[in-house]
Amino acid sequence: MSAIGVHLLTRLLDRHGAALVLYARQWCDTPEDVVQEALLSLVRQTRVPENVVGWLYRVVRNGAVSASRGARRRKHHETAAAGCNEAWFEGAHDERLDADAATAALKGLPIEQRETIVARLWGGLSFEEIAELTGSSTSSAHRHYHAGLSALRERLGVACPKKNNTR
Amino acid sequence: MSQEEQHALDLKAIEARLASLVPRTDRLDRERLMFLAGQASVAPSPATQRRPFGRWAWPAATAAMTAAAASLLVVLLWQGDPRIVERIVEVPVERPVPKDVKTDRERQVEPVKAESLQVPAGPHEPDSPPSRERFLVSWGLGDWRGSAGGRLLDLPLYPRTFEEILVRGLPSPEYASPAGPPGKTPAAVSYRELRADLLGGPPPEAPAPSWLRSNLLFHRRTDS
Repeated sequence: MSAIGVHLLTRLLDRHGAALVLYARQWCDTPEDVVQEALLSLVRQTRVPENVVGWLYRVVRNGAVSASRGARRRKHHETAAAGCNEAWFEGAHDERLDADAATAALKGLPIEQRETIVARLWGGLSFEEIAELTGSSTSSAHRHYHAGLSALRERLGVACPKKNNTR
Repeated sequence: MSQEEQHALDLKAIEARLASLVPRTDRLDRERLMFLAGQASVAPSPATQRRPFGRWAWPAATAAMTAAAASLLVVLLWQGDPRIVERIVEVPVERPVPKDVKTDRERQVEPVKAESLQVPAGPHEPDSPPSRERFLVSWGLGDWRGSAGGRLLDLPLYPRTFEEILVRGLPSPEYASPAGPPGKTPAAVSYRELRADLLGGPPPEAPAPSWLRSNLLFHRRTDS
């Protein structure tokens, strides 16, 4: 390995591989290829980036957008994504939330809200990192995140558990 | 509990439930990724392969050469056969005449007298430069000096017999022009007349030597 050791690569793959695939899936239909290419690009780097996770998300985002443009599916991505029945998640551990329903609800969100929620929830990025990643401000990232969660709550019908317990 | 707090709690709940979902990674080939990563680690990095000048030098040179060749081909085809233009150019060229000759002509000359044509007694060596110079000067053709040395030009000698004839025949008074009335300059003797008298026969058809023109009148300069 040049600058990225095998242990670091394994750890990145274990910890962020799935989230990166889900993040790339927001734009393209071949997210695994995009993530794999991003990891290989990281291996080819002579210097380790300061924020490796943020760097990976940026490379994945650019690669996914390029792949979407290259396949000429960018224009009708929403329609194509809606027509695709491929599940985004594995079987839900929480029986009160169906994975397919969550996938469908996420697909219905605007891309700004969707990528913010994915990067925040499954990627574990901070709002500052999301703002830097998306090229927006931190407040915009906050706003997109809360607006997306509100839309998902309405679509999925999830209520506060404490509220339910009080009843 | 206010409505805002309830809304925040609801958001927390949906956030927690969404976070419990695990994204699919079954299509991400881990072994293949590690294999490719190993290949990429031993391959030369793009930074070492980067040659900012060498990368574009040959393509640029090739493009320039191709453009030049195409331009020359177009010019060659466009030009067609070369057009030949014939024209006569008249260039005025002055006849090279030594300055001294002109100045001699401009000087006051005196026609040759019969007595003056007599060559002074003494040895006349035609080949010796002083004698030749004296001879030529006496005929108004002298002072053709070269630029170097101030000596007479090494002109090709006229046939020696002719020169000797000239030298030895001139003292005869019968070849002198007839004397005119007193106070009047005698008539000049032309080269053709003089040659006819000396060599006999009809006047020569061939032109006179270049340094003695046919229409040149022989005068003897009056040296004061």
